[in-house]
Amino acid sequence: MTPTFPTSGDFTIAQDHLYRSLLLFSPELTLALTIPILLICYFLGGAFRKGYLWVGLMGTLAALGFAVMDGWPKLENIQNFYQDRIAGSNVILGTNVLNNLIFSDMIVIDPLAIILRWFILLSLAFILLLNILTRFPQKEASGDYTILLLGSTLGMMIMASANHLLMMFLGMEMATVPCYMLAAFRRTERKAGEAGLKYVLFGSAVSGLTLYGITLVIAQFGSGYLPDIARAYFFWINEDKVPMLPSIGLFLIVLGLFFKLSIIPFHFWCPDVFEGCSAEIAGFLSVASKGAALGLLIRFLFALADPNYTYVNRVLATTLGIFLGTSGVITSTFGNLLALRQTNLQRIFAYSTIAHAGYLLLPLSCISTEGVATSLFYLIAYLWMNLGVFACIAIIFQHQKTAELARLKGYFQRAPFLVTAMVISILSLLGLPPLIGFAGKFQIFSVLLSSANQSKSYFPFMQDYLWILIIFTGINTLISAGFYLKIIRILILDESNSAMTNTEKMNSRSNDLIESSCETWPQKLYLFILSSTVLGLGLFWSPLRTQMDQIAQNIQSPSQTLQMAPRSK
Amino acid sequence: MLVNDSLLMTLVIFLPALFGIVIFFLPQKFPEVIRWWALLGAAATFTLSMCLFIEYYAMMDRYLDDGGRPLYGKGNQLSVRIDEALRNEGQMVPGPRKSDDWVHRSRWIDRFHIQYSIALDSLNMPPIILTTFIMFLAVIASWNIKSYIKGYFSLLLFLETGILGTFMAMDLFLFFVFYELMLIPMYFLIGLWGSKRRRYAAFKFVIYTLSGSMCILIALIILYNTNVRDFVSKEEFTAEVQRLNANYPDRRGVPASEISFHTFDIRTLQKAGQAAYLFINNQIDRLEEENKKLDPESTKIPILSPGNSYKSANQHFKNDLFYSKNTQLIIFLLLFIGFAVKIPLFPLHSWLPDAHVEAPTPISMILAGILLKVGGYGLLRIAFPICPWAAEQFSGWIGFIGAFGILYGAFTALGQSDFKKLLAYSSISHMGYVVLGLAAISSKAHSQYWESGVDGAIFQMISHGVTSAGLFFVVGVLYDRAHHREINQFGGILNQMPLFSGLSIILFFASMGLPGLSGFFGELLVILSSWHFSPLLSVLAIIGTIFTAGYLLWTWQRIYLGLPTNPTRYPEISFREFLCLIPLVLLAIALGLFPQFMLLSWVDPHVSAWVHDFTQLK
Repeated sequence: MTPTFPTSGDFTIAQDHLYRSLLLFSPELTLALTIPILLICYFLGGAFRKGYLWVGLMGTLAALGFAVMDGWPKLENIQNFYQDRIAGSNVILGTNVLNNLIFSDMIVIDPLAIILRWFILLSLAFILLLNILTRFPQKEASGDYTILLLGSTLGMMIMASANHLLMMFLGMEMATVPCYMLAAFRRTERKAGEAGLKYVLFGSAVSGLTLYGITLVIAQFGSGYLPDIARAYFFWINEDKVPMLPSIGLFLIVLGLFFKLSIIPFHFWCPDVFEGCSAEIAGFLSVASKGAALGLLIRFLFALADPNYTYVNRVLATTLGIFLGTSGVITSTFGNLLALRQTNLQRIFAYSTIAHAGYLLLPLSCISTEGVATSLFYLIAYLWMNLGVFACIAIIFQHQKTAELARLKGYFQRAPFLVTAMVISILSLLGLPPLIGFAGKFQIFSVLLSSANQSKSYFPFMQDYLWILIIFTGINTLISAGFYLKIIRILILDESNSAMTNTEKMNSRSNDLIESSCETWPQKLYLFILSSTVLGLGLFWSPLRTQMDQIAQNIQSPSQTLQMAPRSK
Repeated sequence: MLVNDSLLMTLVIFLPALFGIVIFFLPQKFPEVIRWWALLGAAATFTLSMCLFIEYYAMMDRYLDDGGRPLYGKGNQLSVRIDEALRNEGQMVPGPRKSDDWVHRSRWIDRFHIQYSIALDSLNMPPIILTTFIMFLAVIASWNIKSYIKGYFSLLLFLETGILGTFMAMDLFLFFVFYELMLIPMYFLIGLWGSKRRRYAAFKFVIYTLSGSMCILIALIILYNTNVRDFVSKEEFTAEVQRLNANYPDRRGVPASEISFHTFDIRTLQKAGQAAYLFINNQIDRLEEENKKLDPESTKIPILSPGNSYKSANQHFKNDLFYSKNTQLIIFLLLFIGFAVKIPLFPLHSWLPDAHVEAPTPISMILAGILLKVGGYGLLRIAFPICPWAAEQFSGWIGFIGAFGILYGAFTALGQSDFKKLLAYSSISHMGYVVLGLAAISSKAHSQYWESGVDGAIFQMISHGVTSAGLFFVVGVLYDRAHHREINQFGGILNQMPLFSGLSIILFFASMGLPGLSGFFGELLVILSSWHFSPLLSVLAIIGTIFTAGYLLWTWQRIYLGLPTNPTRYPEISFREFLCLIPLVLLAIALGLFPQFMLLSWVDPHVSAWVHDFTQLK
C-alpha cells in the first residue's frame, strides 16, 4: 500500500483514537499527575510536607476509582467485550479494529489488564496506608519515598497492559529502577545498602539479557508487536521448524520475567533485598511486582500458545507447560526448604514468597484457561494473605526495631491482636481451610489433576508429569508447615524473654515515637480488614473464581487478530 | 428457607463456635464468668444434641419394615433419604424440602458443585452425642486451668464445632474443611497449656495430621475428577450443561455425551464406587435404574439415575480412570492412610503418646474420647463405601494391622511407667478392635457376621470414648495431687481416697472388657465376627485382651494398693471432680448392662443397611 496524504477524515479518526486512548489510560495518567503534585507540595513547604503519603494515597485511590469506573461495566458485561468494534478505522494508526488497543496498539486494555490494574493499585493503596500507620519514612524522606513508589507502580501497570516488546521493556525498567532505591531506603542500616546494591547488580544484568532477547526477536521478525510475533512464530512452528534466534530471544525475555517473579535460579536477590528493605517495600515487591510479572507472563503464554485457539500447536504448548511446571515445582520446593533454616522474619517470608511464585507458575503449566484462572485466583488470594503478613512484620519492626525471630519470643502476650491476625495470614499461606489460601491451593491441585486426566489422550507422559507436580505440591505443603509453625510457635508458644522486655521499656522511654501499647487501633482496624477478607473470601470464593474464569477466557489473544489482515508497516 | 431439621443440625454444629466468639468480648478480669459461659455453651450444645437425638429417633421409629419391626424400615436409611432429597432437588421446580428427614443440602460453592450438605444417621449420631457429652465434661474438668482462659475456652468451643461438623458433613469438601478446622485449636491447646515438652508434641501432632490430610485432599480431588453423570438426574445434568454453555461460550459445540459431571457428594460417589466394583468384576449388567420394581430374588443394583442404562454407563466407565483397579487401590490407600493417622494405626501412631503425655487433662480426654473416633468414622463413612472393591482387596491386611495394633498397644503399655503414656498405648490397642471389626468383610450369605463386626466397632468406639475419657480424668486427679505420673511412685491410694478408687476401678474394669461393663460387648462382637473372617486374627485379638487385663490390673495394684508413698494424705476428690467422673462411670455400667437398649437397637438397622450396600455387590 502506497502512503497517501492523510485526509481530514483520517485526522478525525486519529483524534478519536487519541481521546479514547487518554480516557482508557486515565488511571496511569492520574498516578503520573500525582507525582508533580507531590513535587509542588515539596516546594510549598510547611504543612504540605507532612502529608506526602496522604497525597500519594489520594492519588492512588483516584486512579483506582478511574480504573474501577472504566473496568467494572466491562467485566460485568464480559461476554460482549470484543463485540463492539469500531468500523473502518484501519488507515493510519494501524489496525484499530478492537477498541481496547490504545496508543497505536502499544497498550492493550483487556480483562486481564483491567483486573491487574485493580490489583496493583489496590496493593499500592494498602502499602501507602501501612506506611502512614507505621510512620516509616519520617517527614522529609516520605516525599521521595512516595514518588518512587508511585513511579514504580506506573511501570507495573504498563507491564500489565503492554502489547509490544519495547513497551514491555519500558514498563519493566520503570517498575524496577525505583525499587532499587526503595530497597536501600533504610539508610542507617548497613543491610539496606547491601540490599540496594545487590538488587541493582542482579537487576541490571537481567534487564541487559532481556533487552538482548528483545533485539533477537525483533531482528528476526521485524516487529516487536506481540500478535505479530505470535503470528510469525505460529507459521514457523506449523512448518515444523523452530526459529532458533527468536526462540533464544523469547527465552531470555521469559528469564527477565522469572527474575521479577523470583523463580529459582533467579531468586538470589530476593532474600537479601527483603531482609534489607523495610517490610512495607518487601510487601510491595512480593505482591504488586509479582502481579505485574505474572500478568506479562500470561500475556506471553497467550501469544505463543493460546489455549482458546483451537489450532494451537500441541507440541509447543506442552513444551512450554513442562518448562513452566518444572520451574514452578523446583522453585516452590527449594523456596520452602531454604526457608526452614532462616531466623529472620523478613528472610523467611522472602523464601515463602519464592515458594509461592512457584505455586503461581504450577497451574500455568496446564496451558488451559482454567489454569490461568487458577493462577489469577491464587494471585488475588496472595494479595490479602501476604499483605497481612508483611503489615504485621512492619508493625512489629516499628516497635521492636528488629525482625529477628529470636527476639520476638512470646510476642503474643504483648500484642495479641496483631499476632492473631498474623497467624490467620500464615495459616492461609500454609493452606488450611477455611481460609483463602486453602481455596487457592485446592484449585491448583484440582486443575493439575483435571488436566492430567484430559491430557492422556494426546500426550500420555504429560499425565505422569502432572501427577509428579501434584505429589510435590502436597509434599511442599508439609515442608512449609515446618517453618510456618515455627513462626507461630515462637510468637505464641514460647515464653517471652523478660530481659528483652526491659530493654524495650528503656527504648520506649527514650523514644517518644513508640507508644506504650504495641498496636494502635487504626493498625488493628487495618489488620482486621486484611484478615477478615482472608477468612471471608475463604468461605465464599465461588463468585471470585467464576469471574477469574471469565477473565481468563477473554484475554486479548492473537487468535482474535490472526484473522485480520497483516498490519501495514 | 429454614426448615426444622436443617436449623437444628446447623445450630448444633455452630452453637459452640458462637459461644466461643462471645468469649473474646468477655472481660479478662472475670475468669468465673468466662468459665460459666463456656460451660453454658457446652451444656446448650449437649442439650440440643439430645433434642436432635430424640427427634431423630422419632423419625427412625416412624418407619416399619415388612415384618412390622420398628426402626428397621427402609425409609429411615440414609441412602434412601438422601436419594429422595437429591431427586427433589434435581427437578426443574425443586420439590419441597422435608422438615424431618434429617438431610440438609444447600448451595455453597457453585463453581465446584460444593454443597453445604449435612445429614444424620445412626453411624454419626452416636459420635455426635459422645462429642457433646465429653465436651461438656471436659469444660467441667478444665475448671483449674488458670492461664489465658479466654483463649483456652474459645479454642475448646471452636474445636467442638470442627468435630461436630466433621461428623455431620455429607459433602467431602465440607468434611475436609471441618476436619482441618480441628487441627489448629488442638495445636494451641496442646502447645500452650501442655506440660514440659508441649511444643514438640504439638508440632508432631500437626505434622502427622497434616500429612494424613494431604493424602485425604489428594484422594478427594481424584474423586472430584470422576465422571458421575450416570448417577445424577437428568435435570441436574441439564443444569450443568447450561452452566457450562453460559460460562464457556467456545464449548457450545461439544455434544452432551462428552460432557462430564463432577461432585463431592458422598452418596453419589458411593454409587460410583459400587459401579466401579461391578465394572472391575465384569458384572456391569447388574446395574439398574433407580426406582425400578425389582423382584426380591434379583441381583440387580438400582443405582443408575433414571434414563441411563448400563450400556451407556459402560462406555463412560471405560474412559474414566476412576473405574480402573489401580485408581481404586490408590484412592483407598490415600484415604486409609489419612484416617489411619487419626485412629492411630501401628506405624503412624507415634504422635499419640507424645500428645497425650503433654496435653492437659481435659484435652487428653477430648483427644482419646473423641478425636480418635474421627479416624474410625472416616473409614466407616468415606473410605469403605466409596472404594468397596479396594476395601475388599485390602481387608486381610487391614484386619491384620488392626489385630497387630491390639497386641502392639497392649505389649507397649505393659512396659510404660508413665500413667498417661500407658493409657495412650492402651488407646492404640483399643482402637485396633475398631479397625478389625470394620475389616472383617464376609460373604453375602454370612453378612450377619460382618454386621456384628461393624456393630462391635461402633460400640467399641463409644465405649472407648467413655472409658478412656474417664481414665484420663483419673490421671488428671492423681496428677493434681501428686504432681507426677510415675506409676511406680504411687501407692496406697485406695485407703486415702476410697470414693475415687471405687469410681476408677469401674473404669479400669470397663476398659479391660469385664462382662457387664462397657468394654466387653464391643470386643466380644468384634472377636466373634473376626473369627469368621480369619481365626488367626481372632486369636490374636483374644491374646490381646489377656495382656490388656495384665497391664490394667498391674497398674491398679501399683497405684491403689500397697503402702502410701506420699508423706501427706491426699484429699478425697472434690465435688466438681466427682461430678465429672460419675456420669462416665454410670455410662460405662449402663453401656455394659444394656448394650441393646443404649446403642445397638438403633444403630444396628443402619449398620445392616451399610453392610447390605456392600454385600449386595457380590
